[in-house]
Parts: sequence; C-alpha cells; structure tokens
Amino acid sequence: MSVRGYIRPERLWQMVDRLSTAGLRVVAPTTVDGLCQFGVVTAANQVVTDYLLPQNTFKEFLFPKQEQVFTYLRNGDGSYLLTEPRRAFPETVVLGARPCDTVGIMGSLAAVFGGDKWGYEDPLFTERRRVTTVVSFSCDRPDISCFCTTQGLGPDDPKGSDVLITRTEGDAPVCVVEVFSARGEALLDHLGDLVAADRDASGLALARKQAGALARERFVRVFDISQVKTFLDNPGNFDDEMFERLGTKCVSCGVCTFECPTCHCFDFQDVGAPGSGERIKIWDSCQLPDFTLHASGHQPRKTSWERYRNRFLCKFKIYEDAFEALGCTGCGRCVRDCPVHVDITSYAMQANKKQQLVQIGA
Amino acid sequence: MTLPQPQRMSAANLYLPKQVRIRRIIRETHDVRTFQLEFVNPADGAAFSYNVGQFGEFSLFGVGESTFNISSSPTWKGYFECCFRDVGLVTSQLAKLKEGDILGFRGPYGNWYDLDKLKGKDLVFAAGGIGFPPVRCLIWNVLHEREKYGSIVVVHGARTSGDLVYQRELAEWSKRPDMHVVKTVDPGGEPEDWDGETGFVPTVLEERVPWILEREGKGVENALAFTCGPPVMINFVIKSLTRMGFGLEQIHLTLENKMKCAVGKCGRCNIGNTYVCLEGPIFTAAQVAEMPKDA
Ligand code: SF4
Ligand code: SF4
Ligand code: FES
Repeated sequence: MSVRGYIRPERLWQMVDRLSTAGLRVVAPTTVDGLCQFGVVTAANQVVTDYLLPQNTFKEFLFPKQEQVFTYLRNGDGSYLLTEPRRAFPETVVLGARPCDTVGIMGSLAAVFGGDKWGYEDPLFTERRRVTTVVSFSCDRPDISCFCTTQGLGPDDPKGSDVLITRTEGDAPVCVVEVFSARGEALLDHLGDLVAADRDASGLALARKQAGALARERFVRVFDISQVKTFLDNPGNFDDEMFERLGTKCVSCGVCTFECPTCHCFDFQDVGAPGSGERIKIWDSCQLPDFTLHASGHQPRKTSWERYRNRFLCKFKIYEDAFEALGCTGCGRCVRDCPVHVDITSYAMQANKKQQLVQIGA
Repeated sequence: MTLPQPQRMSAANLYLPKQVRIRRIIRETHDVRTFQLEFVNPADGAAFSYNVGQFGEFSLFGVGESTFNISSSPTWKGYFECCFRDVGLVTSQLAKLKEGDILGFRGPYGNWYDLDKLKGKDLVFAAGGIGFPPVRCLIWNVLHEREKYGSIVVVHGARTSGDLVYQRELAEWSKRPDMHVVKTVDPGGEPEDWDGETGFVPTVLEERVPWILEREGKGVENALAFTCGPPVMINFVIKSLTRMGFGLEQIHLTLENKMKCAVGKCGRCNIGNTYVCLEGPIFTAAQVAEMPKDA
C-alpha cells in the first residue's frame, strides 16, 4: 500500500521549511506579480494556501520561458567560440502541484522532450526532470472549468506524482500521504516527524479514497469524449464547419498555450550582435500568426480559427498519435482564461456529438 | 538517506551546432546561391555522414537558423552543399557571406531515399524553382551508379530563364546520351534566344515525359517520380502524373514546412498529426493524400 501516514492540516506547509532547510529548492503556489503562481519559496509563510490552480503551471521549472542554449563569440580567424552555460540544475521539489498539471508535465511534456519514441532527447528538459520531485495535492473543490475526470484523470489521480497528499473530509481532517516512487521515499526522510504514522494505514487509505470519490462528485463539466478521436481521425472532418464557427472569435493572444501544462512549442532566437551574443530557446505558440509563416510568404494557417483547430487537434489527436501521451489533462485553464471565451470543451462536445450522429446513421 | 543523485547530462545538447566553413559559393541565379561547406573541426567532418534527401539546420550566429535540404550527393567526399534563395530574414543575411565565412550546422535530419528501391526503375524528376535542390541531390546520387537505373528524365522549370538553378549541370546533363533534360520557363519568362520549353512544369511534364518514355519503349508502370517545388506546383504535378498513369505510391515529394528544432519538439512543422521533421521530409503522394489541408 502506498499510504505512509498523515500530516495535520495546520502543519501541511511546514514541509516548505523542512525541505528548504535540507537544501532543496522548493516550488509552491505563492504570490508572483500579484497573482497566485508557482514560484520558489523558502518558508511556509510565503505560500498561498487557498488555491485551486495557480495561474501558471510549474512547467517553467522544467521548460523555462526562455533559456540560453549557448553563447557565440567570433574569434580572430572567423570561427566561433560556442559555449554552453554552466548548468547546475538544483534538486527541486514541487509542492502542491495538482494532478492535472503533474500528468501534463511529468507525463506529456516528458514524452515530447524525452527520446523514447523518436530518439532525440532534450537534456535541457530531461536533466531537470531527473532532479525534480513532485508532491501533488488532491483537489477537493474543482471549479466549473475543471474537467480532468472527463479526460480520464481525476482530482486524486497519482499518475506522475512522487508523493500524493489527500485531505480527508469530516470533522477532524488529516492529510494522507502516499508515496509512489523512490524519489518520493527519499523525500519522506526529509519530512521526518511531520508525517505521523500512528494511525492504521488501511483506515487512512479508506478515508482518502472517500475524499477522492466525494471530490469527483463535485465536477460539473463532465461530458462524453469517447468519439472525439474517431471524429478527428477522419481526414474529411478537418474541414468540418465547427472549426470556423467556434474559433473565429479567437484573437490569437496565445494565453491558452502559455498556461497549458502540455503545450511545448518554442522558438530559437539569436540575441546580440553578429560577433557575440547568445541563442535562446524561448516559448512560442501555435496561436500566433507568424508561427508557421514561411520566408516565401506562404502561410498554411492564415486565420485564428485554423490555428485553434491545430490546437484542438494537438490536444485530442496529435499528442496521442505522435507521442503516445495525453494532450489535454482537463486543467481548465484555457477555458477559464481565454479573453473571448473560446472553449476547448465545446469543441470536444461537438466533435463527439457529430461522431455519435454518424454512428447512429443520422 | 539522501535524494537519488542526479545523473550526469546523458545526452549532448541537441541544439548546439557544429561549425562549417564556406569553401565555395556558386551563384546559381541572381538570388540563389550554393554554399559548398566543410567542417571546421576535422573530427566533426570525419564523424559526419548523411543519406540522400536529408536536411540540416544552417545558422548564422546573431541572425538565426534556416532549414535547407542537403543538396549534394552523399557520394561526394570532403564537402557537402546547401542551396538557398535570398527571401527571408536569415537567407538575406546568408546571401552576404563570403567564401571562408563560418556557419553553424545541425544535422542530418529526416528520412531519405532508399536507393535499393529505385534500382532498375525509370526515374522522372520534376522540380520548380528553388525546389530543385532536394531533387538534384538524388539525381547526382543516381548518376554515381548510372547503370543500375532505367531511363532518367529531368524536368526543371522556373518563372524566367534567369531563375533556373544549376544551369551548368542542366547543360552538362543535356549532353549525356543516357538522360533526358527538359527545361522550361513560365509563359512570358523566355528570352529571345530561349532554347527550352515554355509552359508550367506540370503541363510540360505531361506533354513531354510520356513521349520520351515511349521512345525508349517504356510506359509508366516501372517508373518512379520525384518532385519538389511550390505547393501549388506540386499539386498540379501530382495531377499530371496521375493522368499519365502514375499511381500515388510511385510519386515522391519533399515537403518544405517551416521548421525550427528539426527533432519533433518545437511544434512547428506538423501537418495534422504528421511531424514533417520526424517522419519526412520525403513522402509519397499516397501519404500526402491522407493528410489534412494544413500545409
Ligand atoms: S488544453 Fe486547456 S484544459 Fe487542456 S490541459 Fe491545456 S490548458 Fe488545460
Ligand atoms: S483561444 Fe483564446 S486564449 Fe487562446 S489564443 Fe485564442 S483568444 Fe487567446
Ligand atoms: S521542426 Fe520542430 S517539431 Fe518539427
């Protein structure tokens, strides 16, 4: 059994102090630029404890918004000195991740940046991943935009987590600690007596299960996606009317992609003069107009709805076909934060419905 | 017990280029150049090999990277080539370089032509403008062992006669008894003394190739076609070839999607669920017919 004990709710965030003292970098929900975001913290009092999902995901700690790939310096003979920065990836613990983000980052992003399927491993991601331990907290209060259960996950899904902490319901709640990996085991040693083990593990396991089940019942954005992939697998449906109808209002701001745990697009940019400077790897977005613009002027995706069609396909088909990973974990960020209410779940619902109608021969 | 120790960087930085020196620049047209390149570090050169049809990422430090096909034949030793048109941010700066200048290079990437499957076949090449290099590398590779292949027909077209690339090679090939070369320019693009065809590549292809093959006692059953060029031209070339009796499986094309990483990470080059950098750039027309209109 994965249950190792429990932490008293009022002591939960003391984990920050313990881990920080042990020399680990701790990433947790905190206030950055006035918003609740994942950031580096060193003490429990820096943490925002009342949160559902921080504005950002913690992907930027494995796939930074921008980072140097190398610097170049032209030598006297015209050749260049190419230097990689000294990269010291600190041992990092993400505290309070949500299961949707954990699956998206430790599962899906890892499938893209890892070399398993296609043989190219991006060590800028995989090396960070090797030193990252994820402690997820199960959700007990999903909001109206959350739909992880529809995506085959759940508020207490342990996939990708090294440790999962679930708060039980009732008068005297406790935070049940479950461990799922060697990294998780090692982390427990740092937590010491914070994790009490004076209760029967099977009783804790039961209470934790009940809490998860109760949280599942609180989801309202629940719908059938069983036919969506079939719909998208039919190349003829690429030209379905729904894409233009639902996506024309998109203003191509890119918010949905930057906030998404599974979006992995990036660009390279050279910053500096011809003789010296750096090449950076920097987040990019398939929603931006010049993303696929060719030097010749050829533009495969001219309109915002064509670009959002690509995003929808990426989440519900391409990720699975190309990387055998989940494209959308149902975190709901792109639903919550799109300034013009483009809603990926309405795409999924309509695709599903259209395919169902085909199935019954309507 | 402490946390498990991080392992050392296991994979080399995927995005760190090697350095190559421009040993020769050939001005193919007013805005198209060939760079002949050799590795600055001999060890990089010794470790480098590529297959015909693959591509690379060529960078000018301070400006950025561009994706080009490796336009030379792998049978040529000591250097390799790329060929580009001065159209974009990076290529306009590349066009200013001189012999001896140094570029970054990552590659080779992508799939390639399996020559064993071409042996004994009649080969038809149809290229438009700057789409010629991805076809030209294959022509030279095939000519290296000419006797292993059947008839060879090359159709190359451009807007004007001044836009035809590899003109000296077209002239050289035209003199060979064992291959047929047809050059054409778009109507209106021909000079007074023009000795080639006038018409768009798909039209000229359909007019001339069946006749050339027939003269050699051949049909299209044993032929394979290879094409590259602007997307519109490719579509019409496929239609022409189909009318001539080619099956979609017999037609190969090189897709030139926008790329950045070349290794399936940056999300730039997909057509539907096909990452062109990983599964391409070479596809059969049958494969392309299954793809959505996303390119
Ligand atoms: S597509 Fe939207 S809901 Fe799905 S994982 Fe990304 S941001 Fe979350
Ligand atoms: S769908 Fe919404 S959030 Fe995404 S790019 Fe368009 S307007 Fe921005
Ligand atoms: S070029 Fe980056 S994914 Fe293909």
